[in-house]
Amino acid sequence: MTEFAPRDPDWERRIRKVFAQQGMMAHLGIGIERLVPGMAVLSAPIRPELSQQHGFAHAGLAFSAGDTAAGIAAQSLMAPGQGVLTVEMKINLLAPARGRAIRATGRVERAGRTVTVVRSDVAAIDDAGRETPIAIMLGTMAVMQGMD
Amino acid sequence: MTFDAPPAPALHPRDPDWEAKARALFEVQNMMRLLGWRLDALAPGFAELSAPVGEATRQQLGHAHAAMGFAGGDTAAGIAASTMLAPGDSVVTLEMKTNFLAPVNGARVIARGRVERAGRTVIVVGAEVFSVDAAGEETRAAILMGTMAVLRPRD
Repeated sequence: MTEFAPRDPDWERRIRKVFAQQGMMAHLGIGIERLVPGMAVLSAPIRPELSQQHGFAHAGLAFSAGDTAAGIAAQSLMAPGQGVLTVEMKINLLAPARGRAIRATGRVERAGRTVTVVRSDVAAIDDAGRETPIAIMLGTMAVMQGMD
Repeated sequence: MTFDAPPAPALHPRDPDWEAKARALFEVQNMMRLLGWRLDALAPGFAELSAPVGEATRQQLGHAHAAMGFAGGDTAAGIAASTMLAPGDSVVTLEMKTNFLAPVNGARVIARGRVERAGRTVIVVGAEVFSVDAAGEETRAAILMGTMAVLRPRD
């Protein structure tokens, strides 16, 4: 993977602030595991209230964690005052989200001036800590000016 | 995809019990309840859901999180697809593309899902998500297009 250099020395504090402002993340139990310029790892325990009709975690949980991990990865490379918003996102679901937790790894594929191309890989983690890929996501983030 | 165009050929449910099964399918989605979604309308090949926009589902700018748009659109499309199933079959999302057109915000958010083509093994679906302001004015916030897999019990 390409090494990315952040343009804002304060990037990590800003990301943690933006993440804390997303009420949806706390509501779904999604937390930050790891932050690196151009990459973010989020995870969430699989709880009964997050299930769909087969008792597995709803696709919306994978989308939520994957989209936010990708957004944070993009945000880490923004200049001061710039933010990102999802323009479009494609998700392919590979397997049911069963196990203890899910983990979403978001990465920047290309950081442009007006759009950033991102991807996310989402896995389910079983009780033994083994990871099974459950979703692949590819999307586009718009770079917004005048954001704190 | 335009929903103002002439209606698609009439869709005929294969299961006489399609309506009760589609409602039951929505009721068991715990995550949808957690996010505040309810099922407002149902017809063969169509489902409409809505949810309030509030603190628990917002992102950093105070709008509803993109995942609210996805969850509503994907589930509306999935419920719409379920109305076309033969007895005993079930449906899961294989893939879904979402384009966000405007912020998901306002007083409520509405998701309308439709069947584009009901095949034997895959069902092609579309959905639109609207922000609704206090006066009831709708603004289209997201469009989705995707594929549902039909799961058939092995005998």
